Amino acid sequence: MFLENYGFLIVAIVQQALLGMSLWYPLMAGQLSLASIGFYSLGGYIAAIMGTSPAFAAWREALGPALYPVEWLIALAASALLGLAVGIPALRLRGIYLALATIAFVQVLNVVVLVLDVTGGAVGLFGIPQPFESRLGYLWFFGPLLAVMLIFSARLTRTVAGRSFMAIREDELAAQAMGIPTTFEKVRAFVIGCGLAGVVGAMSAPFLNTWNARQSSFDASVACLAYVLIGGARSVWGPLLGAALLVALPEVLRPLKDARLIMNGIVLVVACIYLPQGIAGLLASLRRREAA
Amino acid sequence: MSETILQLDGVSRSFGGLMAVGDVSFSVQAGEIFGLIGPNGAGKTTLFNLVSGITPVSAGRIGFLGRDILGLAPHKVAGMGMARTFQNIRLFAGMSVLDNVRAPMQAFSRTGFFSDLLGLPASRAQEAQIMATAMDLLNLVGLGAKARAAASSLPYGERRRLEIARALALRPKLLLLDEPAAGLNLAEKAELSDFIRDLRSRFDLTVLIIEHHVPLVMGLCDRLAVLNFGRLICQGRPEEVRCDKSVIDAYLGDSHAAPRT
Ligand SMILES: Nc1ncnc2c1ncn2[C@@H]1O[C@H](COP(=O)(O)OP(=O)(O)OP(=O)(O)O)[C@@H](O)[C@H]1O
Ligand SMILES: [Mg+2]
Repeated sequence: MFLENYGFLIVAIVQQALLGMSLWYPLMAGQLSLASIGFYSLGGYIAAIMGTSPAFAAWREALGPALYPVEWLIALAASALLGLAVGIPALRLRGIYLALATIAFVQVLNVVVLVLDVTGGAVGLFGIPQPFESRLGYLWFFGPLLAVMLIFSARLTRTVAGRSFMAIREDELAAQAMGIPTTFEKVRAFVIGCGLAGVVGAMSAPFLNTWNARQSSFDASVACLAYVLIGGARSVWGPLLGAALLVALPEVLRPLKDARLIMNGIVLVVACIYLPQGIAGLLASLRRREAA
Repeated sequence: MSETILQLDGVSRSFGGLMAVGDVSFSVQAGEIFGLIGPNGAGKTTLFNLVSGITPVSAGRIGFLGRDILGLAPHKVAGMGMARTFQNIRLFAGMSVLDNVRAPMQAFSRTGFFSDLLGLPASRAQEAQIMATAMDLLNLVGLGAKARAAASSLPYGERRRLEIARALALRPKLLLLDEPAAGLNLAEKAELSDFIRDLRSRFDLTVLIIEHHVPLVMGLCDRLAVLNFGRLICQGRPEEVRCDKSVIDAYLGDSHAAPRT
């Protein structure tokens, strides 16, 4: 009962958490990017085209359900390559300029998608085949990916590359003076995020059944960033905590009708002011206080 | 005659109309402790930034280990074996003391990204190696017990020492120290001289040090260069420099005319 009613919500939280995570990696190297939603869109189009276009009929025939992992891999490769192409010039910019460049990139992508035939123009693509009967079934897609990415993040902080990312975040100039190739590492962190966003897009196309340029709106970009900042950019759990709160909140507050939007805004503002390290930072300091 | 590690030829840098460093030439020999002194704003830190590739020169040449390093990115210069500390301490504040020292060791990593993520045997062996080296360095500067603390939680003197340990993690041939005694108390200053000499012999280092504290500089350095308004006004052994008229006028002034060593 509960699971059926809330199936969509649960899957949406996990899916949005993964998108938040795709911004978490560049942030780990101190880079504020809003490009993820563009790669999410790209991945979604790849899955939508492979799922609906007559050109891929033979693939669908031959692969059956194995088509889905093939879509993910192609989305991963395409997003990582495009991420490399965008990242190398964009990551020469710093701070707010990088953020602006990534917003511009998403806008360009949206225009391209609107004029192309394969992407269905403004209408987009619909009738994307769905592997699961219920919404909750998609947890079989997003759940394992979330688990893998959480382990990936936790491991990353203990590797040579992870330490380089964090050193750049803490002090880019000192990192350079300590021999760390900062541009290379920033591109690496960015490309990891792009690849993840592409795979999430490829998984989301069947989940949402239709795909169009509205998937990569500016609002969606900002929402992904909010998950990380509210959840905590310095904790592996940050994007999940942030997405859980921000995706569930409007549903929980539904009885409040229009006032819920105000509540939503208040939560954001309060979190920004009082939780500079996000929810994860708050939990960590509570735990420390208990231990002391 | 020993080998030349660092060679500056007519190095200049201006900011707008201000000549921060003007036509400076000197060379540092392997194994030397070479001091760089001069009044506030003389251009000492700027010279460090030029040498380490952080600020581009306006004119001149800089050779390091026999290679022209002009235009080389700072991380490449560092990778050749030049490490530095900063006058205003630039640690990786949000990272642990241990990670501050482990981060520069990426330069020696022989394992791949995915091998590290999966914790394959080669990566695990390398991590153990990195850990052992980092702990040795932290013990050397007396911070072994604080390895897990956040760098930002350290008191001032310990931050200075951590910055030196972080620089040493790069296994440098040339170590640049920008006012390492600043903010230290007298006892700490006295220890610092011995510590730097000890580092030189232990790691086969050449040291280029900026320092205001005259007794420390005179007692520690093999040779000195004196900057004033961006110009090199004098260089030589400490006793030569101390007696140079222009140095006394420009820098040491009356109160420091006869510094005790
Ligand atoms: N990035 C910069 N832009 C503009 N002016 C600069 C810059 N860096 C240094 N300067 C100027 O260059 C001159 C030399 O500064 P520098 O920091 O090298 O002096 P210093 O010898 O290290 O002095 P101190 O003993 O106070 O550390 C100063 O007048 C300073 O204001
Ligand atoms: Mg200075």
